[in-house]
Amino acid sequence: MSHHKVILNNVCFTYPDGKNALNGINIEIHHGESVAIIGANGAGKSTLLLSLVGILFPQKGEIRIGEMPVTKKTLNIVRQKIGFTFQNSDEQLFNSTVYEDVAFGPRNYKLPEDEVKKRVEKALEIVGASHLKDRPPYKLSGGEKRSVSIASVLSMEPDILLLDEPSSSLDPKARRKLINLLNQFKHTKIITSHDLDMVLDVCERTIVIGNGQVVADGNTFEILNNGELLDKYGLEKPFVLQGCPICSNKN
Amino acid sequence: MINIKNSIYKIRFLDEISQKNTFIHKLHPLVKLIVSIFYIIMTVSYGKYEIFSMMPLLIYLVLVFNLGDIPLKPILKRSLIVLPIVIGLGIFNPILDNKPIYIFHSISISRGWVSYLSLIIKSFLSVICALLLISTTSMDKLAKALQQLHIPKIIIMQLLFTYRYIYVLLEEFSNIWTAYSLRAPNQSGIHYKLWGPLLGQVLIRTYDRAERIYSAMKLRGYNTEFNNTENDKLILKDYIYLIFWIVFLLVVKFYNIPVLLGSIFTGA
Repeated sequence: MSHHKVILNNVCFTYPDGKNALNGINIEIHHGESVAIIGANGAGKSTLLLSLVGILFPQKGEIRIGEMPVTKKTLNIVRQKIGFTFQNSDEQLFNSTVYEDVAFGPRNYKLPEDEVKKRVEKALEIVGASHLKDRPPYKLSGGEKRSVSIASVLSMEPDILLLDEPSSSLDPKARRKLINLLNQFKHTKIITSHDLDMVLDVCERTIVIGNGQVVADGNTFEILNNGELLDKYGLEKPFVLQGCPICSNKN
Repeated sequence: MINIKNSIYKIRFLDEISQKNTFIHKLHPLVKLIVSIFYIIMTVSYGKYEIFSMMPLLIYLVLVFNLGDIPLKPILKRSLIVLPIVIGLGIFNPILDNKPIYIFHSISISRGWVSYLSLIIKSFLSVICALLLISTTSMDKLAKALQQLHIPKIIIMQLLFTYRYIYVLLEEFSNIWTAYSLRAPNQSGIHYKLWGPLLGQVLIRTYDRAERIYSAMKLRGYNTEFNNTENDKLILKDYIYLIFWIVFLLVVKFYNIPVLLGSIFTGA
């Protein structure tokens, strides 16, 4: 299936203050793939995600989502295909109840109210948050907020999920739940994270970004096992791939 | 510090009680809006010396408080906010208008005091009425009702966004304040030299954050059209409520009920 391909072709982006965030990025992501985008702080990960959904427009190059270029004209269609969750869930949840928040997207796409209701209930059920339906979002715990923010994009039935640091500020149990949840999804997933252990559990492919360029692209296990590469770009092997501190001291 | 956290909690308090499920909450937002506007118009239209004929207006408030299961104390506390303004506005009434109007034994009460009192009563009635409206109707529904009244979209958007971003502003401010006070333990308040940079920070941070929230809205298909909550159609109950209050307010405006009742009981 090629219709949900994500293609970035020589994408360049410079911020108004002159900072070169992206310097010619070439990526092709296929339908159903689960891809991690990793890199040091300021490497350009967030800029990349923001340009995929047309919040930022690259000065050079082209982004295509499922055969459709991301331009001002196509934004509505593109954004319907992509579910984007923010690093800080608080910024995504602004309605007075969880239900309203999850219904926000479908209602904006003018779906009839009974369809909206169906979608909201389904999305909340998938993330296991049905019982939170009538709660105000700001009273939820971090993990619950994350689940609800994922439900709020699932209700739009996107083909592609973009998740910006999904495991940040979650406690270990909530993080594990999130990983299990993400593994159930059949969507194309693009995840940025510093949580490389999660990346190892969720994504089969990893792209390393450094100085606004793709510096490595390949199998997650191979890349995350390449200590030299990771070190050069401000990263570190995930804990599960580091030797056990107790055993290695004995040798 | 605690004050800011408290006020965040307090604003949200109104949001929360507006989610209740009582008779009043279930009424159509449009009806509640019209009744409230009409109530306020009628209240301020009373003559400046008519204190006693305004008393029946309390019936509306008492009924909404009870039927809507709204806690009395928090609402009354919030209504005090206007008190300083009203006291300031009417302060010269007793001095400028000092003809006596009532004389009890040897104490005379001037018209100025009466008009001052009626000003205060009017403003309280109006403010409590407005507070009751937002504690029985959520902001989104209210916006929809305003739209049905053909209020220009831009005004409604302003209202909604202001309401939404007050939290953002307060939260950013409380974060900055916490950070400041943790490193300035022996100060009460913020040193005046830092007022500038600090306020600048709040502004920039709030702006950034508001921008991100706006992005989040746009990403979910928001296009200056608010489709939050479809208001239902008006049903019989709504019409009855509307007509009842309009008739009631007109009757108490044009017939002085307390005097009528008084004359019936005393047989005069």
